[in-house]
Amino acid sequence: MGQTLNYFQVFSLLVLVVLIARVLAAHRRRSVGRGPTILWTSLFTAASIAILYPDLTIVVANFLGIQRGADLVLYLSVLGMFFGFFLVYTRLRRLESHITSITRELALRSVDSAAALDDAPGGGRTDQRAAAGSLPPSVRKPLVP
Amino acid sequence: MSSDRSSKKAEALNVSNEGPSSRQPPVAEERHHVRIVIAAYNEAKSIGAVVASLVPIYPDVVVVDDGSTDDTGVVATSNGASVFRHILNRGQGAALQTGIIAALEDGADYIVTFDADGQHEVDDIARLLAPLVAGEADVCLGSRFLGSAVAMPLLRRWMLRVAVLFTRATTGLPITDAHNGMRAFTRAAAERLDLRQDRMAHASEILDQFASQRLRIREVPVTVRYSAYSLDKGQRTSGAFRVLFDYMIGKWDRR
Repeated sequence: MGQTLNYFQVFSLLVLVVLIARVLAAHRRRSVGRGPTILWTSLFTAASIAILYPDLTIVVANFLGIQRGADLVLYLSVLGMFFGFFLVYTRLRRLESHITSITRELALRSVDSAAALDDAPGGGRTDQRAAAGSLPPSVRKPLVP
Repeated sequence: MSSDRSSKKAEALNVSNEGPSSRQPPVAEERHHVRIVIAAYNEAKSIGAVVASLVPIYPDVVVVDDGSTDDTGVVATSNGASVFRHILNRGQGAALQTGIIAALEDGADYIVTFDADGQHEVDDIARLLAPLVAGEADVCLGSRFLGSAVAMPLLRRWMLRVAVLFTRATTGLPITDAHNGMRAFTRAAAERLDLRQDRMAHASEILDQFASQRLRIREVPVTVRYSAYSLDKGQRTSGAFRVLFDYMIGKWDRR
């Protein structure tokens, strides 16, 4: 540091401080687990350092064989975003699967079709499914994230 | 005409659970519970006729109403089918799996999947069931390329041929028609299924699972009839890319 910070640095540092505070607050509230908290806090802290000491990025970049510090930041961001995208996509697919399971369970318990079977000995379909408590085969893992 | 119909009925009754069984070895006195499973999404215009044509011969017809916004469910019920309703549209694969689970719970011995749009012929069902009842196969698939495809658009034919090559490569099965909705399989085969593909890629997934379970698979010729209605309602040819994408993602990420 030493010299005064420019507007960009001041603004973005403020934003990052706020973001870190929000992550920590969310962690205290228990809406975010330990892993993601550490991840995001480290990320924002690293970004703050890179903004405070831009020359550091050049040193790291050159060490890795990249010319400009900004390029390094860009590459890392892109990689991070790809990774993040696939995490979200996987989560989405699991959600879809769970929605289907719920829809299916509702369909199989629906009164219309079970009406004829409810009089059957041993209970109707609704009773049997409720009693079995077994998850349909397409949901192997329990329905808690 | 009526004797024609009753002879077909007798042939079919061989494997249905209704009426007197015809004396045909080796089935003899055994009654087999056959269930027809139809996945339907907004097929109110065609489902009535389809169900009506099935019920006299195969009384156990189940329609899985996949979140239709029209009267599909009501029309199906009024023509004699049992209906399970998905309150949300989850896709043909999801609907069929629901139908299969219900069929297993209800003690079906043979499950036949059938299309809701009138493209399939009721008479072909007996041909599909024959190898299963005779104990020669666990799964019997309908093939329009062995049988006939009436009024099939050229692009569709070409895309299906490509699909066949792809399926042969991935499953190693000498299939001639990879995406045909007419399938019959035994209870035992159905119990091995665990379909995760909700949408159209289920057709490839079901073949994958049959193949990996080393089940005995046969193909029989069937007739597939294209009409303006079914083409209009049916899959876009571009949907093939979505199928491929879903299929590959499904293999990568086995939830």
